[in-house]
Order: sequence, then structure tokens, then C-alpha cells
Amino acid sequence: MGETPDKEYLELFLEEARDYIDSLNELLPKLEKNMENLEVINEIFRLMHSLKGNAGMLGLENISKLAHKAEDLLAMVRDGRLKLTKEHVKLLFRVLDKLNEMLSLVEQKATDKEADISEILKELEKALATEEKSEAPVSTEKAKEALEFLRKLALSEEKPKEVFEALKNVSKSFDKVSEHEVSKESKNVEDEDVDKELFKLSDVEREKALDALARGLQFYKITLKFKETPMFVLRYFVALQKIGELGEIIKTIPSGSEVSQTKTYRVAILAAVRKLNELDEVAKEIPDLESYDARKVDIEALGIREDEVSMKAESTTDKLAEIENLLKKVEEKEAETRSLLAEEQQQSQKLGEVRVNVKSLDTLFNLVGELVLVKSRLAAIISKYDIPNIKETLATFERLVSELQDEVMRMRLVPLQYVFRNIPRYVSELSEKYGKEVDVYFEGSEISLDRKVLEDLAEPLFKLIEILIRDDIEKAEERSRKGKPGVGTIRLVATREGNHVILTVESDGRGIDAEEVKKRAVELGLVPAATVEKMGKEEALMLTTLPGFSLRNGAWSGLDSIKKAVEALGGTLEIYSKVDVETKFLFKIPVSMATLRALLVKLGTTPYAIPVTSVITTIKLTDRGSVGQADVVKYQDKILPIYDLAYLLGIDGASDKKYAVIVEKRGKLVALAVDEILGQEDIVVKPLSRILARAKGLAGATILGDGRVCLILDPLSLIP
Amino acid sequence: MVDRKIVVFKLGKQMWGIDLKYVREVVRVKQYTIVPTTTEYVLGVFNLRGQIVPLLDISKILNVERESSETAIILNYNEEAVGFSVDNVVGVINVSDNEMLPPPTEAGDYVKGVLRRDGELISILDTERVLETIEQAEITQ
Repeated sequence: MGETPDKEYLELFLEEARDYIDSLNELLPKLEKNMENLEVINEIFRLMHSLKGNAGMLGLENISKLAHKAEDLLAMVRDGRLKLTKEHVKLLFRVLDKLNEMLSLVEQKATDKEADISEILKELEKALATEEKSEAPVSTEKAKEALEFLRKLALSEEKPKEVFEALKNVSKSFDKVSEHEVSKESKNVEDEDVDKELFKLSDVEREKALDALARGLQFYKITLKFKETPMFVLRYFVALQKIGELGEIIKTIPSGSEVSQTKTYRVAILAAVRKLNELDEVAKEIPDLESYDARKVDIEALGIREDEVSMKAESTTDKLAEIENLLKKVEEKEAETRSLLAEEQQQSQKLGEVRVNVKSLDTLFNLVGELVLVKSRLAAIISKYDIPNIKETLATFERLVSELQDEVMRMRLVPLQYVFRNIPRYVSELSEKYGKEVDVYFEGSEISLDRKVLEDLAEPLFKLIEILIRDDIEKAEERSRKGKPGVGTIRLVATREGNHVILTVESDGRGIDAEEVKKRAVELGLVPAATVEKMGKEEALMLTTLPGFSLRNGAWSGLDSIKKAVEALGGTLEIYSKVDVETKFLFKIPVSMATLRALLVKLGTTPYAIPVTSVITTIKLTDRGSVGQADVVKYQDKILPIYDLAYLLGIDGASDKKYAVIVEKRGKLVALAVDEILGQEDIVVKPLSRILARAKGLAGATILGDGRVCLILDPLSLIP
Repeated sequence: MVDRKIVVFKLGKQMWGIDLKYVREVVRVKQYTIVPTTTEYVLGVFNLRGQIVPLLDISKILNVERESSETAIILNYNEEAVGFSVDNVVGVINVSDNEMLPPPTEAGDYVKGVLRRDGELISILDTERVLETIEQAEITQ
């Protein structure tokens, strides 16, 4: 980190920081008057955040640290985890004074090292400690704020409360029935002890319970007594799995890790399911069961208050969690990038430009790509529910995500120069190889394209240049016979046209004779003669891009792979030519594209892509067994259910799949069996047509290297 | 008088027509990827010059029997391309409005009108209706 940053940057920083301090000086008194003014809180938060970032970049650690802590405090207030008091405002005033003091210090000595902030930090810590959860560093805050808002809405009480009321009424009449049943049963003391333990929920369990409640599930205490067989442990897991499929298992006694030590063959389960009779049905399927009993449990017994409960749509919550997860990763990457920036700051030429590790940029890019996918799935789900205000918020969220995507895409743009600069040397090598003389000219090398697009464009471009030197440009003596200058010319011109770059590659050689191409294509059996007759010149020239095409002398072979590569980039290729005057190839290439890191797997002979962010790991299905009806596999110390991915997709396939992809759905690991694992790849995400919007479990599609379409799966939505 | 141009194609034993204004092009689809979890009307998706286009089997909707073929008519639908798999494309004909006859009731919901050419009946498809039906079809699985 920079010990003494350049004066120039410091001045910039100080100027900006003074502005911030001025604004804070105005805002804090406002806050003092109305401590619930969220607008003011947000504005102060934003200023502290900016100050923190700027100071951090210049290595002004004390300022950065202090602003950071203040930001944390405000974040807690904003999120409703801390109630703002007069003391807090006073503390913020003191933070302001301290910041001011440090700015003066920086002005004189270009560092804030000598400042003592230990005391004020301690006080901030104390204020922060009133809440146990610590705030993650806030970044991409705009998106996060939108998410926060979105979540609140998803949990909003307006409509869902009515639903909840209705639910409560139903459950009351249910209670009467089950009370009747319960009274027949004599409870013993041991039972009450079990209840006490079973109903005492940990934070995680409680969260699960609230979630289940929100999904409209009912709680039951299920008591299972198994026959005394050595298979008991396996039966236990089968039972859990079967009941789990109906809803959610909140808690079990004994727990999964204790079950092998237990000697009672008795299991008490707290589960949330939709209907009692579903439970009764499932119980019949559990092998070696001696007795079974299910009793309804009131939420009060679990220590859950009604007002904690709000309805939420199950899948919306899932997606929200997923988005949150992604945002967190994006944030981490940003933080990583930022710390890299700070390190490299001194070498950087201007304050406005920084070096970024390409890898973290790629990761960021992929994460944003995935965020975009999740966004559209979320939009699809939300469209099914009529939740007030959510549409507008979703629109805001969508806008923010697409802004984020634009910004990240912009970060990845690289000028064509990076490819162009290697061409002269390549041309001179090829000129020698084919005994020609060629000059090459460039225009528009400052035009930028996405890194990956440029990378993928380089190969077909180089290949085309070779073909032009090989087949188009004549040898010097032939050229002078034709009255052309002895040295041939290749010209590469790039222009920007909306979201595309138009790149023309032009040479002044023999040209391509459309009539000759037509005849040859028919001769090679690539097209019927009747089709060729009606073709115009440009259309005929495109025949050269058919696989297997070449003129009698072998010229113009290999154009098919160029066309394919361009199309894989989402671009197009056009060919123009005037015999003995010019040959022109026109590429229209999108400036950027959304890519995603995906795991490719095979079902039968068809490859499918799974976003790597959904994948925990992949395993070989060796430790496989079947427990009752269910297929399971041992992974680490857990027993996971196996789902055949082909079956989930509703396609036929061999039943003895050798591999599995492990994914996590709502905290539970699940093995998805596949025939083959092909490996990871960066794929270009293409949307599926709207006409396929109802297809389940699909997140989009991509085009593989061989031109085939490969579907991108959303495996979590397929798991029942 | 020419009021419209109709692309005529064969599907099953019958001749059908689609208004040229919906048609983008006619292509051969050598290979497509099956889309599971969708309806019987969707054969799959294929790569049309880098664009992913659904390939639809309208024979199920029109209730005709047919064998598979590689020919597909690419249509514009809500600014997206969709492909109809057909047996073969016969050509484009000029039609004046007074040649168009109302469809017989047994023709079903998807025929807008019929016309007679060279002794053959050509049923003109209600393209939008066909596509809407496919789009809104419930997945049964």
C-alpha cells in the first residue's frame, strides 16, 4: 500500500473529502431532529462509504477504518437492526470531527498515520455490539438495497396476512380433530421430556420452521418405533427422506449423527408438512416400522409468535437466497478487485484508471451473467403471484442488474489493437511461405471488443488472412502482368455500429468468380443445380463457406470454419468480390456477450450444461446402495438421495448411471446421476425462445463448438 | 389482382399455406436438440446461424400424420424466429382475396380459409393462432 501517495491524487481526494464533510455537517443535524429519516441515513451511509473507499485507495487507513465503522453503524440502523439514539448521533458528530482533524493532518503530512482513532473506534464497536450479527462490508449497495426492499415486499404482510388468517382458521378446526385423537392416548413422562427437547429449536431450526410456516406447512411431531434390526440406521434415513419429501424436517431425536449410538429404536421427528394424511400414507412405506404416531404441534409450543410469521412464496424465497448468494460473491470479487487496486495503485498512471486481475474480472463477469439468469427466473416466478408493489421493485431490480452487467461488460472491453499488432509479423511470415509480397494496413484499431470475443475472433481472422495471401493475392509477376502494383494489399477496417463491430478484411488480388463458385458447388454435390441458378452474386459467394468447398485448384478451402467461428460468437459473415479488383470479407460481431462457467454433463449422447455455481462437486457413484425404494449414495459422512437427472427431465436413459453431480437444495445435498461428466467450460448464454418459456428446469441454451445447441439446466428447480 | 403471397407447403397428405409476410426463410435442419420438459409440439431447438430457434411440429395441432423431414419454414413471431417442420415447400403463389373461401367447419380452428389451385385444396393457416396454442400449451408430465 502507498505510504505517501502522489500529491496530485491527495489533492483530488482532499477536495472531494471536504465536500463530503460539508454535506455530513448539514445532514447530521437533520438526523438529530428526526432519527427515523431513512433518506438522511442512506445519504450519510453513502458519503461514509465513498469516503472509506477513496481513503482506502490512497492507503489512508485510519480514515478508511473510521468511515467504515461509521458505515457499519448506519447500515445496521438502515436495516432496522439497531435503533438510533441521541448517543449514536453524538458519536457520529465526533466521528465527523475526527475525520476533519485527520484530513488536516493529511493536508500537512500526506498521511493519517499519526492520528489516534483507537478510542472513537472502541465506542463505535460498542455501539455495533448491541447487535450480535456483524455486517458484511457493503458494496454494490444499490443492487443490495433493491434486494433488501424486494425481500421485504416478498415478506410483506398486506396480502399474505389474509392468507395466513384463513390458514389459521383451517388449522383450528384441524386442532379439534387432533385433540380428540390425542386425548385417547396416554402421555407418559418420558414423552414430555422428549417434547421439551424436540420443541427447543436452535437458530437454524427456528429459521427452517419459520420458512416452513411461510410455505403454509403444518407442524407435526412424529414418533416412529422401529423393529430391532441392524438395519435400523438405514431405516431411519429412509424415513427422514420420505418425510422430508413431504415438506421439511425441522428436528429429530436422535439426530443423524447420534442415531448409530442409540439403542431405543425410537425416533421423534418434528416435521412440517402439508397434510396429515400425506404423512399417514408415507408412514406405510417405511419398512420395519412397529408403530407410528403423528400429532399436530402448535407454533406456540415451538416458541414462535404469530407476528413473526409472514407468508412468502416458496420459490421466491429460494431465488432470493440464490440472488443474495450471488450478490455476495460479486461483492467479494469487488472487494478483492479493490484490494488489488489498492496494491497496484502506485504503479497506475491515473487515479481514474486501475489494473485489475483478469481472472477476478472473469469471475465477476460470470457471476453477473448468472445473476442475470436468476433475475429472469425470478421475474417469471413473480409474474405468477399478485404481490403489491413487487412489479415496480422487480423493474428497479432488473434495471440495476442490467446496469451492473453493462458496467462489468464495459470493464472487459479490449481494443482491437491487441489482435492487430500481431498481424504484420504473421503476414510477413506467410508472404515468405507463399512467395508473395503483401502490405497490411489497419483502421479502427482503437475500437474495443469484449476480451473473450476478441480472443475467439483472433483465430478465424488469422486463418482468413492466410487464405487471402494463399488464394487471393497473386505473385508479383502475375500482378504486374495485370497492371497491378507488385505488392498486394490487405486492409483491415473496423467500425462500430450500435452493439456491433463491423470488421472488413479486404485484399486486392484475383477475387472470387461467383459463376465459377456456382458450377463448382454443383459439381461437388453441395447444392442442387436448380437452387444455384436463381442465386444472386452475393448468395453464390457464400457457397464458398459450405463445408467441403474448394475450387478445382484447391483455392478458398477452409472458409467454413471461419463462418462457423463467427456464428458461434453470435456474428455474421458476408463476402463481396470483384474479379481481379478486390475480395472483401465483412464480419459483424457483437461487442460483448454474456458468458457463464458451466459444468457439461452427458445424458445418453446429449450434453447438458449446469452453471457451476449450483454445483458442490462431482463424484463417481461407487458407494451406492438402495435403501428401501430409495437410491442413496454415501458422500463424506452423509447419505444422499440420488435422483436420476434423465428421469427428472422426463427422458429415458440407462438406469445405472456411473457419475453424479452434487447440488444443494435448501441446505440439503442431493446427488444427480448422469452418464458422463465432460468438464467445465465458459459458455455463451443465449436466451430460449419465448415459446419455450413454460419448459421446466431450463435456464437458457448455448451453442457448443460443434454447432450443436446445448441446454443450460436449472437443476434446483427440477428436484422435487 | 394480387392481394397476398402465400407460401405453399406439404404436410401429411395435404397442402397448406402460410402468408408470406410471416415467413423469414426456408431452411434445412440437419440436427436439432431435443428439449425435454416441454410439450409434444416442440421437437427441439436448433442453431440457425448462431441464433437458437425452436423447431415446432404443427402436425400434432393440425391433426395430420406425417413422416419426419429436414425442411423447416422459419417464421417471425413476436420478433423471434420459430421454425415449422414441414414435409416440403412447394412454392410461393399469388392469391387475390376473392379466391379465398371460408373454411369448412370440419377444417378445425387453425384454418383461416381455403383456396383451390390446379385441382388441389390449400388450407391457409391461422399462424398466430397455431403459435399461441403452442405457447400456451400446458406441460403434462
